[in-house]
Amino acid sequence: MIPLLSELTSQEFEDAVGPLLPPAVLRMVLLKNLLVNKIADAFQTGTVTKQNLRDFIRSEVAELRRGEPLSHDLALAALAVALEGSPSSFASEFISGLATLDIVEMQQSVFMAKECMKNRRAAPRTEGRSFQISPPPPLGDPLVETRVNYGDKRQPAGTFGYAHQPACAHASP
Amino acid sequence: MKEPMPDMFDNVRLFGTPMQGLALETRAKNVVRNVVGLEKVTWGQKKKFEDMCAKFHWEVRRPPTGAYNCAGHVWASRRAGLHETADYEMILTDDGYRELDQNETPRPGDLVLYRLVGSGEPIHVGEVIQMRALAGVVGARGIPWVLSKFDSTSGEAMHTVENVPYASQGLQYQYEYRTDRPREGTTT
Repeated sequence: MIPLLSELTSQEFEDAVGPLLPPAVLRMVLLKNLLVNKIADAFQTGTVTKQNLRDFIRSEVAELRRGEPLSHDLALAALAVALEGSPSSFASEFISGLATLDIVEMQQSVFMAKECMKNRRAAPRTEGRSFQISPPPPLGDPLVETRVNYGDKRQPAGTFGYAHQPACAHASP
Repeated sequence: MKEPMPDMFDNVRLFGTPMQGLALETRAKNVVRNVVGLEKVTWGQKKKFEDMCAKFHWEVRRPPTGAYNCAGHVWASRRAGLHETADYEMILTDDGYRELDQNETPRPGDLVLYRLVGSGEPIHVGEVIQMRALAGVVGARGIPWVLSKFDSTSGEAMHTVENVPYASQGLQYQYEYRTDRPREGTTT
């Protein structure tokens, strides 16, 4: 296992985080945690790949026993916070999947994923929008009539050509 | 055609115990969201509580349980965890918990609400259990001692009102006393 990820499951990490606060406040604590930030950076730079994360998640949830709290539930909660700012589809899959679990064995990570979802929705992003464009006004008389007076010749409205075409230097003899 | 990607939590969904809550309402009949937690906690969670008790010199009332959290201790009779902090504010309002005035002394049964400085987001709620006099100080009204279930996996511990772990988590906090008692000198 990637050492950074295995650190998430350590007792030192659990102790460093301290008491499990309400999700909004615990998220703030985890956002400031050095290890969480290292994992976020490592995923962004590719040092930790989505396959690494997938293997880690699979190995952790394989520990689940019905009626018993998941041993490293906090590690999954921390991972949700680490991936919260990532625009990758993997991060979306993980966080939204976790948020919809609603099982009591993993309540810390589920609550944290729900909190991360709120913040992912609130984050600025590029999105497609459709616009209704009203049709142009019907063609009619020009709004401005251009009149150029070259002697008696009258320039037709809306044209900008010379009334008297000068002899063109490149014209054929 | 591309096959749909299997959900990474498919097996967990089948295996886990669905979250369930109790029917719980405020006095104004607003629903209080809650989850009945598992009684068991992990070895790591037990150890963390023991270490914190040793570090902060807390007096343990009961060992760790995952059944409820701090708000479940004070508002759900230790039967469920209340995890939505918006509901804490609703309970305080609907159940008539007023803030203690400056000149009022906390009494057993009053609540201490810890909040983040700035946002005012609730961090923790505990119950005042005693005004413990300082040794050798005569006439002083004493220091409030609080019974706290610090999180949804800890045990319950008794501590002075200031002796909480939030500064070590990098949080700036403040606290206020809340009571359902009428103002001193009044009957309502």
